[in-house]
Amino acid sequence: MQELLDFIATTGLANLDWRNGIMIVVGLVFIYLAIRNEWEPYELLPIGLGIVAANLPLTGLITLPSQSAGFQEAGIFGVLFHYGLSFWNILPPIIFLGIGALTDFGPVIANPKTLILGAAAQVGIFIAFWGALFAGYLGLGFGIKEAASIGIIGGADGPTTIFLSARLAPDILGVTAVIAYSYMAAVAFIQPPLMKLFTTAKERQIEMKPPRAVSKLEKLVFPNVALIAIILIVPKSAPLIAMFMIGNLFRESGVVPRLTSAASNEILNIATIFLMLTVGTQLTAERVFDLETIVILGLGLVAFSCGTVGGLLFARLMNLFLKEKINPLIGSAGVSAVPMAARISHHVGQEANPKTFLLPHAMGPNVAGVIGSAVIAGVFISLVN
Amino acid sequence: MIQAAYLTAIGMGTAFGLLLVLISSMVVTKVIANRIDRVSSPNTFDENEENIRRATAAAVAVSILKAKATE
Repeated sequence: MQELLDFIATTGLANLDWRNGIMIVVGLVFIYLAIRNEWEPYELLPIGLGIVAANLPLTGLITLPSQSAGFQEAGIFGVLFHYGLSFWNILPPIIFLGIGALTDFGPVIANPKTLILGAAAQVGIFIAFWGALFAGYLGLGFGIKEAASIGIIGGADGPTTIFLSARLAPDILGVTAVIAYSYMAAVAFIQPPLMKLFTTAKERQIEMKPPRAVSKLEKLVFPNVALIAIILIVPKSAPLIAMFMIGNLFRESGVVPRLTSAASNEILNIATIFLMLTVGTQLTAERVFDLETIVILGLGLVAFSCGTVGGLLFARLMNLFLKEKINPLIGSAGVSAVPMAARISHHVGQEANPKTFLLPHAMGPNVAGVIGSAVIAGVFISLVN
Repeated sequence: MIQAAYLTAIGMGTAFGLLLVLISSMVVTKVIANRIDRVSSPNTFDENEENIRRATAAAVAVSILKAKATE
């Protein structure tokens, strides 16, 4: 009988805390949203599975190598977190290699002024950064490192958020990463009301000429110039920017189709599996049931919304000086969230005027947003770390 | 607070500055690419034929106008 009681005491069921139970439900909701609504399924499904796995008690799945008696005791997700994110931090740059191999800089090169919108939309990062500092001043445990990690959520770029949080504030990595991906998944709900609020009906109807054809030489020169210029100024952004441009050069060179295919398919998919599962496993009940997490959730939304509004207003400002007006809806795509934010710009534009075709134009600020947030992450690491 | 203010200024300034550098590089590359295309891409057979036809038509038109003027 004693053996039976001992066995029951060692089961996960006997050790299940109510908070773990809630987190398991949250994980199941993520899985549901990914499968039923196809909300960012490549992110939310593995994150949801990671949340469920990490919140099952006594598994040791997330035991870090440093916490265990030896490497044999470390959990698989602990090892993945340690080497993939916190210690080596190699997974976000690998994701950037794949994204680079999938990115077409053609629309940006055809209309370079749209790059500026990608910078303007980064204003959300700094508003959330100051908001987090203020929250820290009020007594929450946010120092300048945590504030930078929270602010970067406004860049709406999951890998960049993870890259920066892993460097500066690994304790809040899981929370910031999931919030960043959750808001990226929710762009279709967050952005359109703001887009309609901060633009006039007449502005939303502006038609833009189709972008010009871009030569292969231009497509080859751009990633090289960007690689050298950005890394010379912000060397700490090199892991992200270098991998991004290398992936893009694979694509544009046209001579290494197997490498392009591997980077944009197999490597990207493998890295996505490990990254998202690991992020999900960081969302344990002890970390999530905390006032700080709720504040980060709010600040992330502020960051994302302010980035969207910043892009829209800057596009309107540009129109005061441009002879050939741009549709300000493309400004909201500057928050990254590639390519969803560009698609939202296109859809809202088509609602206002079915003749507008904004997708290629919105890809400019969208790609610029990726570069802009990676640059700001590099600045944060340079000056804060 | 002072560090945060510097971070904000440097972060936004760097993002805008670098993107302006990239815009400049794109403009320069476009000009160079256009020149190289003009120099390096010889006319195709069809383009040469079209040019010969246009030159012939122009010569005929000029000769007709000249003949009319002397009448």
